[in-house]
Amino acid sequence: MKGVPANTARVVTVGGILRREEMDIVLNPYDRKTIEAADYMRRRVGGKLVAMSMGPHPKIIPIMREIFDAEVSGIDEAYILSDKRMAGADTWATSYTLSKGILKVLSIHREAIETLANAIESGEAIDKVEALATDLYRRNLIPNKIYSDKPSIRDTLINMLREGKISRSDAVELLREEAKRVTTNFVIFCGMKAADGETGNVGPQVAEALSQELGLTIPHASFVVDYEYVSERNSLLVKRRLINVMQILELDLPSVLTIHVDYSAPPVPLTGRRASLMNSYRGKNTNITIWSADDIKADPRYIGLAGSPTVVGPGIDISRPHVRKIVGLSIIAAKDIDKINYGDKTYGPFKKGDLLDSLPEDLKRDLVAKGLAKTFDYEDLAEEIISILRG
Amino acid sequence: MQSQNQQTQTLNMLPPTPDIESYRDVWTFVEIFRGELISYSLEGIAAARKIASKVGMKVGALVAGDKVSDDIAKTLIEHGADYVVAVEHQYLADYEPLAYTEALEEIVRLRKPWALIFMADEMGRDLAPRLAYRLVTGLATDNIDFDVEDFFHGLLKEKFTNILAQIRPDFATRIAKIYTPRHRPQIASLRPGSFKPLQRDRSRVGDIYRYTPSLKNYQKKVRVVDYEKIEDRGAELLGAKLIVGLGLGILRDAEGNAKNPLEAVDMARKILDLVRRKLGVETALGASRALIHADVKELREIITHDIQIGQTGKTVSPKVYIAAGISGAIQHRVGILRAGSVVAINIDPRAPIHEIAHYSIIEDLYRALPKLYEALQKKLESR
Ligand SMILES: Cc1cc2nc3c(=O)[nH]c(=O)nc-3n(C[C@H](O)[C@H](O)[C@H](O)COP(=O)(O)OP(=O)(O)OC[C@H]3O[C@@H](n4cnc5c(N)ncnc54)[C@H](O)[C@@H]3O)c2cc1C
Repeated sequence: MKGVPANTARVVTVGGILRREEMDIVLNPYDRKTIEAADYMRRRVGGKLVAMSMGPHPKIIPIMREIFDAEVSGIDEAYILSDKRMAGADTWATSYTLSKGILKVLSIHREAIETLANAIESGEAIDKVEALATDLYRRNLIPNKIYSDKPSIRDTLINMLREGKISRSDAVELLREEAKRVTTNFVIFCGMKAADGETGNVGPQVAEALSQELGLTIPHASFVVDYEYVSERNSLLVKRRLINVMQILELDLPSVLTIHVDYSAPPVPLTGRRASLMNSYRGKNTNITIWSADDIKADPRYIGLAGSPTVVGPGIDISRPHVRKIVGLSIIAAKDIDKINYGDKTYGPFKKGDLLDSLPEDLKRDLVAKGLAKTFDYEDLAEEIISILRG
Repeated sequence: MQSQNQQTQTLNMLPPTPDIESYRDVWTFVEIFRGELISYSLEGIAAARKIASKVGMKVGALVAGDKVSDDIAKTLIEHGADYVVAVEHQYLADYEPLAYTEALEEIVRLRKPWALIFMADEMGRDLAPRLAYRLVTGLATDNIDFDVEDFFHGLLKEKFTNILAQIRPDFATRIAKIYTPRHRPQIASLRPGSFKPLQRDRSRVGDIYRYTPSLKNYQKKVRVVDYEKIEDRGAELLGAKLIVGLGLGILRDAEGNAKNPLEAVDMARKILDLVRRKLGVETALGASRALIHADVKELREIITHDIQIGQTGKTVSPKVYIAAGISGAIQHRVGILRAGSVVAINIDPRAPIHEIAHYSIIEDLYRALPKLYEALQKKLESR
């Protein structure tokens, strides 16, 4: 998620760098579709929907609060990467920072499961194990299939362990596998671009940055208008815009999608609801987590202005000097005119149609009276348009 | 010599590209998609020529595919490339970001181009960011022009001579220049429609380097399954010689009374039809974003996203652009920078569209459009 200036057309720039903290910030409009697409995935397969943003947290917190209930069922958890040193980041530094934040979110979840596995392995009493599981569950760190307080869910791993349906070593093995899956079974959804910078770089760059952080290849696809989860292969079937066609791709998980504005979520199929529930977590955790650069162990050389390979130079004006003829006002030459001596100056020569607005008023009046000049009218304009189109 | 201060500053920053002086030539990535040369890629060659001529370097056309034909390579040279770098591998038969990133990374590390231009279409936007991240270099997207300049780095207090100025629409009211002073290649994407392809010159000759990448780190995590057709109603905008752009101004007349905007659409179409019939040139209807977002019921099938002109829409290059009821916001203007002549119809004499117009009609468009139509008709029938 990105916070963008409320009126992106009216932005304060200081030497080319956006000063977000000085402006009213709203959710990037393109991110709405992103939430919708991510929400579909969560309802389809379970898990939880985590929102992450980088920017000054006082400005981002209200946006996060709003999207806990946004779109279909909203986000479940929110993280904000906020640090003065992150300011002025270009897309390279932003993507690096985000990948570090994502890595930490994944690590927390993996470690939670590992802690539980270690406790069971070390022969901790079942009550102690359950107390630990309860705590992790309350903190939204382990899914229903491991532990749950929902009355409808009885077949959790902890229950089965308590009831002797599985051995301790089986439980440990299952948990370790589950812990590994944390860093492979996820999808990152990004907006196709942001309304302020409009680069669209961050999605593909996060895929690359996170691939490097995790030491695996994470594919990405941009401008996705539709997608479906393929459970048999744990992959995504994606439809995305490419040049003059739609390209249909299959991407292995984990993957990164950027969501096109034309996306709209299909209804969630009825099958697989139970599995989805088992993969889900306790619920929403509306305590927003704020992390600094140190919290996510970001290399200070790679973040903010310092970590940005691009530098924004001073802005320049694009209006070009030119002559302009105003219908009903401008005076043009009605025919070719030779040099004119007027006062102590010489004007011309002029060709038929030349703009005479800069001549002295008296001279213009004189030329008009003699039929050498005239007011620029619709027919003159039509004539010029036709000759440009012919030329 | 770097000062002490400068050295400590540099140490706290993203390390520069090693061996930065060894990077040479301006490359442009030419898109071959499903066997066809994507024609606006030739604009990238024109842009590369402009840059290369300012720094005394050569222009390389970078192409990828399972096999790049001699015909295509020759076409690129005849359109201004000095040489062609053809990266060939069976995994490059279909576009897919992982194989392409891997292949381009290999050739860039090997041949070290000084600058690399992509087209800012869906392929360029999908590929260039990932490649730039991998190569640890900057990417300036959506440029409309390039230049070569000296740049003074404020933070480092260091002057970089003769580097690429990447010119793109700014957040606010102007155009920004982006520099990548300490990293190579300087990667940029170019908006289709911003440059004119160079005249084909069949006498031009140049080398073709063929390279087979090892793809040794490549993992096949993406499979191209199929393609589906899409209809883009806006395609005709790109080739049109006359465009009438309609803005929010068509919703009301000069007195502020609500109008049926279909009237304005009909008048615009009458002008376009007349010119098409009489002069045999392509014509098209365009719109401002505000009019599209206004989501007017009567216009729903007519004023759609694919005919939006501007920063987030299409860049057009007609000989004549008639803007009716358009204020001329910067985001709209960047889409018509390459229009030959602009005719502005706007009741507000201070509307920014008049500042860039070659012809201004400061009148209610509901009066101006019929008058313009009649004048055109009179001139065209009398011939
Ligand atoms: C990130 C970003 C990207 C954007 N991208 C684009 C883009 O790609 N394309 C785009 O167009 N905009 C874009 N915009 C929006 C842009 O900033 C303007 O808001 C928009 O172009 C305004 O459209 P308009 O000129 O039709 O409307 P307005 O600005 O409302 O102008 C209407 C004009 O019509 C005139 N008028 C009213 N009635 C009449 C009449 N009866 N006769 C004659 N004249 C009349 C008025 O004087 C006024 O000047 C973007 C904005 C942002 C922030």
